[in-house]
Amino acid sequence: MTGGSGGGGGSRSGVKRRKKQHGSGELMIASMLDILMAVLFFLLKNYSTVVTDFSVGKDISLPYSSSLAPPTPSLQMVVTQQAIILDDKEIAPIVNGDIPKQFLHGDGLTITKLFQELRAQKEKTEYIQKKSDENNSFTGTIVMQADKNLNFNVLKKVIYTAGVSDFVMLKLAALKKDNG
Amino acid sequence: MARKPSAASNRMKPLEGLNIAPLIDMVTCLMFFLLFFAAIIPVVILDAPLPKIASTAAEIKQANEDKNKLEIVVDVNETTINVKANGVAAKSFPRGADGKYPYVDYHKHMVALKKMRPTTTDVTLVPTDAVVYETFIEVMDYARELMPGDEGYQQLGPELQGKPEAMQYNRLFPEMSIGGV
Repeated sequence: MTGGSGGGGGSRSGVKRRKKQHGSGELMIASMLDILMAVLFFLLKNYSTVVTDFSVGKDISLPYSSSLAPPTPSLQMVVTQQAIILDDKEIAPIVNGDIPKQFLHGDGLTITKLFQELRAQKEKTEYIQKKSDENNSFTGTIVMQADKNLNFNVLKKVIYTAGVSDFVMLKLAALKKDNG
Repeated sequence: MARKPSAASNRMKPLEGLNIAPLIDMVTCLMFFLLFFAAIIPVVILDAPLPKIASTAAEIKQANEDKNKLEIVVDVNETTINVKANGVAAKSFPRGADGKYPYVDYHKHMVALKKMRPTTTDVTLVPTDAVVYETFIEVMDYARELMPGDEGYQQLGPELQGKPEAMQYNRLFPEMSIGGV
């Protein structure tokens, strides 16, 4: 009897001990939730002000600018130290800081393939606009991402080609200068 | 003899606290989604339209009205920034011994030009072939807006600082176009 009652008392204290151990072993998720919430609010706040379909090209180092204008969705042209890229397609290489002559038109300024591609883009845009009911006309907007160390002799040819292809609304991409 | 514990005491009690496991799941999913799509690099845009010849009647009229404005051309070469404006003596800003362009002096001159004809808003930049793109962007930046310490500079509230709306204030020559192309 005593043994039984003693055994009963022993098992009760064992449950207590087990309960205690269980309590201390529980994961404290309240603090983790706090961190997650803080990160989430931070991301949500930034997310609303950033246009997400703007991706900075690879192998490119953009210059810094104090401008605050946000990027707009439009045709993107990337000029790295190695090549000119339009819509993720390499158009012409850059060798020794210049565009090889075989890629240029007789005037020495127009980049032949870039001109053809931009013309095709223009026609495509105009065709889409004609088919859609919206009364928008072709604006000729193009965003240029260029490496900060490039010389203007390369950019001049790129800009000139864009101009003769009716892409006259040139926008230059840069990294936001931290004024703080 | 110890009594057998009743079946009622062994029955599982309903959870008293809020079940936050699904909430954590949701927050974690959202966070990964945002981290994946959020642009971490803050990219900005500078307008640099190519100058065009006035062809329509409206454009010619506008060009005639603009005669009261200053026509400012900034030539940038490897050694100097030259600022030319109609009716104003040209001014040069040669690179210093440290190899840097005197951007602050150039900016002050631009502020003085703006003071002469406040209606002028555009500048044409003409860089030479050897000018580095970064220099070109700097020249644009120093002519686009007023800076702290300039006459007429408006201190903006924290709700506007760093926001695109702030570009409506402290405008110097916000319309830049690339010439000589």
